[in-house]
Amino acid sequence: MVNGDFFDAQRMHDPCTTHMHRKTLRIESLTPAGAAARGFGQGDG
Amino acid sequence: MGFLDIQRATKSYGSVKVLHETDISIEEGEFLVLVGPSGCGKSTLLNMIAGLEEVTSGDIRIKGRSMNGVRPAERNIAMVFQSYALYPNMNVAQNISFGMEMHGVPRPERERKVAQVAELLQIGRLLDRKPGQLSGGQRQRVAMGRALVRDPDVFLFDEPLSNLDAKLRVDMRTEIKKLHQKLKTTIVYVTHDQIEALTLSTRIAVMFGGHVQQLGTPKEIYDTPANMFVAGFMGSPSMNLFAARVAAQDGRAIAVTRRADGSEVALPFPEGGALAAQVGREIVLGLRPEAITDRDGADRHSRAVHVVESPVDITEPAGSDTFVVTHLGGKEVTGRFRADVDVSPGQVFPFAINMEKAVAFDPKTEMRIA
Repeated sequence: MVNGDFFDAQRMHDPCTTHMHRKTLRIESLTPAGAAARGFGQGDG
Repeated sequence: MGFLDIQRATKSYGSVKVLHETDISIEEGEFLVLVGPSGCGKSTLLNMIAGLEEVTSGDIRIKGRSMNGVRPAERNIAMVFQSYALYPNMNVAQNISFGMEMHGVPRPERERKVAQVAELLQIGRLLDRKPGQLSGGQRQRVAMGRALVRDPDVFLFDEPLSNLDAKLRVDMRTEIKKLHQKLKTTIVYVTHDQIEALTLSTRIAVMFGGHVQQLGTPKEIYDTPANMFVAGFMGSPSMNLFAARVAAQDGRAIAVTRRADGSEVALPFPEGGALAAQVGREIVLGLRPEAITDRDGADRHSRAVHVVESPVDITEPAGSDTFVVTHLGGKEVTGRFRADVDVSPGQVFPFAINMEKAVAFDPKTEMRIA
């Protein structure tokens, strides 16, 4: 799951947008290490 | 073999089949639009190309390589979403370069590409801003920049203009078309807007009920729709579809239909048409609004313009044209008249019908027969 700082920064609770972010992250190849470095929590799940 | 091949691909959720066996092959540089109403399976198919949804059966191949089991990140595709999905905690430059960073592209190369894309999309002055500080159109440009910068094999667009207001949508549509002409990229684009489909695409797949109803060029789809669904869905106002019967007059086929008062109207088909041998057959006649005009607005090159007097129900001035509604075959029939034609409701007016543009459908199967 994408979580933590990312959603804190996002400060919005729009499930549709969040869903699209997850999809984008899967396409953009987020690795756990890269995710942590960029404040995305545990990667794309 | 094409650049992108969808081969007998299906998608089911449990016992519910949302995409029936689908075959589409597109060449490098093509702009394919998947268009259809909500729930037709178009976004599911796009997600299957992206790898965001598994293929239940069949195969999707990019450059000859099967994508079954290949992760989205390893398919060399990029996707632009309706809701932009920009990372709100990053500025524009970081949003654009993030995917490259994740793929290990060195910083100087990333910076060069961000500058290149920013110039192409005219967002250079926005690079330090966060998404929250951008307008909808600017966000969509950034989302496109993020896709462009990765040089993907295939761009996937999922209703990218649906969140924009009407004017901006038209502007961005032109921008996307210009980008495609300039970069000659391969694009698969999902929309429910048939105008977007007709204006942007090199080919269109019209979808409904999990089936591709017709795959063809915009002209093929518009002029010779495969069935009544495609005829009704593509075009605005949509194609007029009304009941008629094939008869013979002076050795040629005519369509006989009725006005609102029950009186008969005979509309001769052009000579040598496919319906000449089918006298007595009930049909659904299909005529685009521009094939039904005022007399002076009729196509002077056509040899099959037939004038029918019929009472006007409604007039709808639309700036460049006036839409004029009458009744034929028990249905409302809309004609596209010149804007300055003096016509008013209740008046019996001569409608010039261009039968060269007529198509006919079987009322039972709804498939085009001529």
